[in-house]
Order: sequence, then C-alpha cells, then structure tokens
Amino acid sequence: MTTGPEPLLDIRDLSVEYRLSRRETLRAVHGVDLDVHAGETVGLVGESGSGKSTIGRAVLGLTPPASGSIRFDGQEIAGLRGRQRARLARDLQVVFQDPLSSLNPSMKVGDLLQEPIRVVRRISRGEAAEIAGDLLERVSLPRDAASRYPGAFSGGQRQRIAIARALSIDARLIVCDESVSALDVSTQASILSLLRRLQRELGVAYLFVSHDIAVVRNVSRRVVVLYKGRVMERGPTAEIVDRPYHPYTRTLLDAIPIPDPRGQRERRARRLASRVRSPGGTAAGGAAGAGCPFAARCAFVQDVCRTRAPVPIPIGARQVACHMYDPASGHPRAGEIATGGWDDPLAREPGPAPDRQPAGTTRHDGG
Amino acid sequence: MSTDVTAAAPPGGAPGAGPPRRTGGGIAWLLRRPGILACLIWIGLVFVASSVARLFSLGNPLEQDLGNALAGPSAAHPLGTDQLGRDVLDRLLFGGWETLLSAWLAVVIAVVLGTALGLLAGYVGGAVDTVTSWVQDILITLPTILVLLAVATVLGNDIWAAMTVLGVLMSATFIRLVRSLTVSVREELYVDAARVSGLSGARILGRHILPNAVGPVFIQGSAALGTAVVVQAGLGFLGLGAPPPYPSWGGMISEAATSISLQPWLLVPSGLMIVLTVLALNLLGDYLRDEMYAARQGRGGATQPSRRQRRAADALAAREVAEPTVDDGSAGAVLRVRDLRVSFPHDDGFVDVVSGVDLHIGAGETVGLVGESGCGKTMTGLSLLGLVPSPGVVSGYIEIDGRRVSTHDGSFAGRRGREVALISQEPMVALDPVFTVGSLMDEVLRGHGYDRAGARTRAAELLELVGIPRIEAVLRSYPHQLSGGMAQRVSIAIALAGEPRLLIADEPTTALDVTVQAEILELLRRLQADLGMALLFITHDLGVVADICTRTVVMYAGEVVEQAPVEDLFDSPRHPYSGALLAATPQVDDDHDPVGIRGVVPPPGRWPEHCRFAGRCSFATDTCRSGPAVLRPAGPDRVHRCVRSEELFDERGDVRPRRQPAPAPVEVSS
Repeated sequence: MTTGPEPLLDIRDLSVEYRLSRRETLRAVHGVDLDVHAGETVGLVGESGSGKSTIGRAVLGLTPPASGSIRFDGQEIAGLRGRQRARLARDLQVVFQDPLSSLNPSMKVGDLLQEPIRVVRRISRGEAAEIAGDLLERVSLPRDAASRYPGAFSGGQRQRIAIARALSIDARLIVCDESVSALDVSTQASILSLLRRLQRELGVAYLFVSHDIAVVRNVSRRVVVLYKGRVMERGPTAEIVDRPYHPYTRTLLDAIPIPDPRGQRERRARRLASRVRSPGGTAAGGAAGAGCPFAARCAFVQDVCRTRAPVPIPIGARQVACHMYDPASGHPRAGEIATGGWDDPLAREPGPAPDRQPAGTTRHDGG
Repeated sequence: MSTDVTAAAPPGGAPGAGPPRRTGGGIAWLLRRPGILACLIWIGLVFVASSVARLFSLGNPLEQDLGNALAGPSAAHPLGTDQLGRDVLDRLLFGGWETLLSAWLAVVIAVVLGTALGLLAGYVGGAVDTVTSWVQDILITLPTILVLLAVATVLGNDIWAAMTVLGVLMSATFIRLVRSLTVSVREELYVDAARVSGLSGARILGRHILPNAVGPVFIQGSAALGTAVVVQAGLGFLGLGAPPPYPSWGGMISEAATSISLQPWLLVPSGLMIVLTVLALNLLGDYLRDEMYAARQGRGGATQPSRRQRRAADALAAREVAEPTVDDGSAGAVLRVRDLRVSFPHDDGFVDVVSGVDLHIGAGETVGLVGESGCGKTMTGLSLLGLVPSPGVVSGYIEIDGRRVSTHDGSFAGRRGREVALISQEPMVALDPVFTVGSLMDEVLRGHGYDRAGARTRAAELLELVGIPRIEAVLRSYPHQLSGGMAQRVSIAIALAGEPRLLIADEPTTALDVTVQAEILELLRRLQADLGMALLFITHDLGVVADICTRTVVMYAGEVVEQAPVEDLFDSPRHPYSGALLAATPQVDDDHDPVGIRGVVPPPGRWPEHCRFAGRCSFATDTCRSGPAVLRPAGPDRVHRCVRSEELFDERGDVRPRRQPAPAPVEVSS
C-alpha cells in the first residue's frame, strides 16, 4: 500500500500462538501484515482478544511468533535472542499502559533512566546522570525528579517518566501499548501532545496500540483494525472513522458514545436499528479458522462468510477483509441486503469500487 | 505517606504505591514498636554476651567445684551450678556462642541456596523449574532428625557439619518462597520493560526481581533461625552436640534431666534460654511480616489511631446536619444528601476527601457523577452505601426513600441491598469465584427472604430481566466461565435482587469493550424505564454520561463545582472545570486536538480556602483567590461554583478553553 522508502518495521504474515495446555494452543494473531515507516504513527485498534497487544509484544521480542516475519530496518528480528536482541534495545522501545507497574517501585527515577543508557553505552555514572536529567526536561519534568521514587509521582508524571525511559537510548520505534488508557482525560491530552512533540523533534515512529479509536484518530494517520487476531480493515484513520467499510469497523465505531447528548441519541438510534440479534444463534461459525471471524455478529452474514475466510480487498487507500467487497465471493453488496439503518458505504461515493482500483482517493483531512 | 515529597503526590495517595518509606529515624521507628524492640534486645543480648564470653575467655565453664555441685543461684554463681559444680551461666554463654553461630550458618546456607535456586527456577522456568521442584520435594520429604543422625554417625560429633546439612534441608522452604515471588514479579510490566531495554537476565534478576524477595526471605529466615536453634538443641540433647566437657544448650538440658529429682532448678536456665531465644526469633519474624503487610497496604505501619484521632472521629460523626429545606428541588426525591463529608485520619486530625456535597436523585432519574480521579466520586458513592473503608468517617444528612440513614450507627446494614445497591467496575471481582452464579444468587435472594424454590424462580426471572440467554447454563457456571459483559449482567441481576430504590453504578462499563459497554448501557436504560430507580452513575467518560444520564454533577477536589441537566452542561458548561473536562475528551468524529488540564488535582488536605480549581484554571484572577467559592444558581435546576462564570460568558461566550485543529500527523508517504 505504502510506497516509497523501505518501512522501518515490516511485519509479514505474523501468527502468534499461546500454549494453553500440553495439547491446546490459542492462536491470538492470524497472518497479520503491518508496516510502520520512520517517523510516523500507525494505530492498532481492536477490542480485548483482538491480538493487538500480542502483536506489540511480538515486535518487542516478549512473545515468540509462531510463524511469519518481523523485519526492523531491513533486518529479520523475529527469532533474535540474547545479545543480538539486546542490541535492538537501542532502536526499539515500549511505553506500557500502567505507568506504575512498568516502573520498578524500588528504584529511583534517575537509576531507572540511567539503567538502559549504561547497558548500551559505556559511559560514566556522571555522564549518564546528565543524560537522565536532559531526558526529564525533554518530557517536561524537573531535573531533580531523578532523586525520587516513582511512587512520588502522579499517573501522568509517571507516564512521562516511562516515555523518558523509552527515549533514553534514542529509540527509532516506540510501541505504545495502551499508553494513555489508564490516565484521566485531562492528563491523556497532554501525554498525547507530548508524544506528538517528541515525534516532531526526534522523528521517532510509534506503533500505537489502543482500544480507543478516538485517541488513535488523534495521533495516527494510518490505522489497522483487528478482530480476533485478523486484520478487518486498514487505511487512513480519518477516512475509516468517517466512513467505515467493514461491518465490524462500523459496529465498533457506532458503539463509541460521543460527548454530545443529542448526537449520541442519533448514533444510538442508528446503532439499534442496524443491530443484529445474534443471527444463527450462538453456534458461531464452523471449525475455528474457517470463515470470517465476525460472521456470528455480522448483519450481512451469508453462507460464504461461514465457510471461507475473506481476503483483503484493496479499495482506494484502504484494504477491507470482507466478502461483501469481493466480487468473486458471490456475496451481495450491503445495499442489496435488507438490514435496517445500513446502506452500502460504497454506493454513496462515486469513484472507488472494489473491482477497479483508481488511485488518489486518500482524503487528507485533519489539517 | 512520606512527607518529603514536594511534587504533587498521587491524588488520594494510591495505596501501596509509595516507595519504601523511611519515616523518622530507625530508632524512633523501633521505639513505636516495643514488640520488635524487645525481641531484638533479647537476641542481641544473648549473642553479644556469649560472644564476649567466648572470645575473651571470660568465666570458667569447665572449672569444676565438686564441693559446690547442684547449688541454686547465689552471688558467686548467679544461675547455680551443675552436677560437677560448674557455673551454669558461664556454660550457657559459652555454649550459646556455638549454638547461635551454627544456627546462623544453617540459615545462611538455606537462604543462599534457596534464593539462588528459587530465582533460577522462577525466572528460567521449563525444565530447570521442574528439576528444582523435584529437588525441593525430596528435601522436604527427608526426615530432618534421621538425616542429621546419619550425618553424625558418619562424620562424628561435628555440629558444624550437621548444621550445614540442616541448611541444605531447610533451603527447600526458601526455594519455594523465592520461586513463587519470582514467578509473580516476572509478570510485572517493569520486568518486561527491563527486557526491552536489553538488560541481561542476570541484571534483571539482581536489580528488578531479587529486591522484591528480600523482605519475605528475611522474615522467613528469622523463623528458620529459631528452628535451627531448636534442632541444634535437640542434637545436643541426644549427645551429638559439642563433645563433653564442652557445653551446649541441648547437652545442658540433657545433663539437667538426669538430676531433675535432686535439683529441678538446673533445668530452668537452659530451658528458659532456648524457649526465650526461639520465641524472640519467631516473634520477630511475625512482627516483621505484619509490618510488611501494613506497609504494602499503604498504612504507615501497624499502629493504632491515636486517642486524639478517635475523639476527632466521634466529633465528626456526631456532626448534626438538618434536613434540606423543601425549596431546593429535592423534595420527594429517592436520594437526598446534604453537606456530605467523608474524612480520613491524617497526622493527628482528620482531613476531608469529600467536603460538603449536596445531591438529590429522583425516581427514574440517572445522575452522572464525573471528575478526575482523586476528586471524591467513588468515596461519595461508597458513603451512600455505608461502605467507606474503616478509618474513614462519614457525616452529613443522607435520606434514602424517605427515611434518614444515620451515618454512624450501622443503620445501613439492613438497607444495603434492599433500598440501595451497587454495581462495581470489575464484575469478576464482585462475584466470588468459588461459587456458581446459581448459588451466589440463591444466597442473596435467601437473604431477602425467599425460600429455596422461590429463590430459584426469582433468580431465573432476574437473569431474564438482564437479558441473559440460556439461563439454566449460566446458573450452573462459575464467574470465570462468563465473558466480561455476561459477568456484569449477572452482577446487575444480583444488585436488582432486593429491588433497590437507589442503584449506585461505579464505573460499571470502564473495564468492558465498547461494543459490550453499549449493550450494558442499553440494559441499564431499559431497566431504568421499567423499574424507575434512582441511578447514580459514577464515571470519568463524558461520552457515557451523554449517553445515559439525565443530569450531571461535576466534582472537583471533594466538592460539587457544577450541576446541570445533561444537555445544558454539554452545550454550555458554566464552570471552567466542566469546560476543561469537555475540551480534554478526544472525540472520534472530530479533528480537534483535545486540550489537557495543566497540573493535577491537589491531594486532600491541600485544598485552598478559595476556589479549589483556581490553581489550574486558565481564567483564574485575583477575584478567584479572594474568598471561598460558593454554589450559585444559574437557571432552572442548575448551579455552579465559579465567581467569574457570568463575566466569562459576556467576554468570550464560553468557559471552555479554545481548541486547536489537530496539526497534521507527520506525513511520510502514501
């Protein structure tokens, strides 16, 4: 999709499995492709169980992939261990959700910040302390914060410390795993603007994992929507949020309450009208892996959805994994199916249609 | 809480969040804990006295005085003499040195070996863990005394060898302890963060995992020291201690036992010495454990509230607040609250975390309670249920369904569940995992006076009411078998069991996915339409408020700053704090950047006399800092607490900070 220079992070056909017991495994991520270019932010959204955090952990080397490749700056990093993996720490960092449990409560902030620096570079304690002080200033905290313990700071301040730690060795990609989800909105906004400022100043890229599309819309130009470990839809964030193609994306967006009582009343009415009362009962789909994972909840479900997994269909700047947009699937278009409240998203706009693929339909709104 | 923190402490002082605190000096800390002090004094005394006696060869433990055998205490022999007329005190001290040192050796071996293996097993896992657990099982199964007897047979009467073996045997306890601590800490995010930082395994173990084990290992070690002393005395008693004529505590008891009919006193010094020393070591372990738990729970140690605090608590609880006057619009409401205060002990007095909240909710009304964390939302909710945790004191006027509830005489107990019920944030936490949904509901319904058959029918009705399919199957399931949404439906059904007039929902959808949240909100809306309760909805999500609430109460720093019908509040907030919250909320259908609020909510006790938001407000002037801000009416059913509100409206038509259109995210290529 994205042309130009080689992406900084390039994930191809990634699958991750968790072993539940000796016999059983749970496939948390199914053949996901994803790329992040230097200096950009890519959002990764989905509900719990969508595999979004697992992808982040696989990139960080905290969870081994079952198959597929993860390339960072052209180098395969999926199977790296020990010293080779440790060398990646220079480039690849993380900011977790819970800023308290991601900072060792028994270490002073200064030591926390110096630790990664001193592992990567052989420098004196004094120099490291100097760098730690600079980092604290960079995230708008006083230099003397270094002499206190994480417990002495508020949630937002602790998240600033976690960001400073991620920046301490000039990371080029930071995985933000629900980094602002545990914060009050008042603090969330300032952390988001801090992340944006650092991106402008340092050119760092973010893989922004979040369940909150409103936040993702605010920070990332491109987004990948996951459901049960598979990519449902991907493309420019504003475009997808304004006009979702995939029924799952639409369900997800319609469920978000907006802080406007009248607008919310309309959204609610629209959502209720198009809601599906679990068609086909609860016998969800056939064998695991067969068919579309969203089939059991989808308003447009057809037989093909339960038997064959949809392939990503390019539509303009987007990709949608839904049979509805695949002429070869025999699935009727949304407009041809009688479901209240849902019209065919493609019918409204001229131009892009699944079988032709015109260029230049990317909307560049958002300033 | 530590007092040296000048930066804003986490609001409400997140329990257990603090760093290892050092309050006052070590001596002062000890003086407040006489139990620990007494144990330390005894152990120290015995150790120092016996070391001095041994190292400087004071006293004559071997000198016989047959003419003076089996004498009671006297000036020359403070603890008497034994069969051979040897001084008992000298022998006790002389033997004590070896007893304590060899017990110490055993514990050091156990701790070092156990900690190393435990760390390794817990961190590496897999085959290493399996093998270590076999080793540990074998060590635990071996009968200690028999092994030690066998060792003594092979190696002769070498107490140091015996104690070395004892140390190896005792290491099993430490392996188990450290392994389980390591496994739990290994899952902590900061260990993941350390791995991502490229730290080596050894460094992660040493810097990030081991420090967590030090406390528990130290406590366990103290008790193990007691055990080692007992085992050592036992060996001495069996004649495997120091070879005669050299004294050992166990050997002395053995000798005393042979002449018990001639001089019973002889058993007292050695017996008491062992009992007191072991007791001191075990008690020390217990005391330290209590201290550690107290520190983890964020209390400043296991100390009792001072008398002054107790008196202050009584005075607070007895504070009389009159019934609200009829003209405040609250007449006939299900919930009427006036001047509600929730206070917690702090230093030598009390500090308010909720100060003077007025609130009313009518039947069928859904009131949203919003504000940042640390503003007192949850405490307000809990006080209406009589569930404010222990040292907290609730005072003020609370009336539920026409009857006044006293805040300090336990009159809540009979009304909780019947007139007022709670839905909490984490349904899984609210449901006891060891019972099936059926038995949980049965328990609640029987408490409400249903018989067995009636409870079954009612449980099914309630589950149907909250939209649960396959009711029979759900009744037979355990909470962990349910999805988050199902579990929250069950907990709502349980809350409805007593047909409450007032339902407190504390962030009931925060832990749920948005699609599930939408369903739960739909359910609550339908229940409200059918049952017409008064619903207090505590949340930080303004989208949820817009969706479900009819009226909104905005709290800041323990007090209400604005109250308005939900549309009015979202259309045109009158208090800058409400405006700032709205401007900070990111919106999915909007390209504006959310605007953060600088600073943090000041912690309770540091709230200024004037407008509490002034320190963070972008519109604050000297007027705002000149006196307390009072609630002022602003139209029907609308109040706010901003001195400048009208002026701001005249000037700029809004109290919200201006939002900037979002700058373009960095474009790379597309």
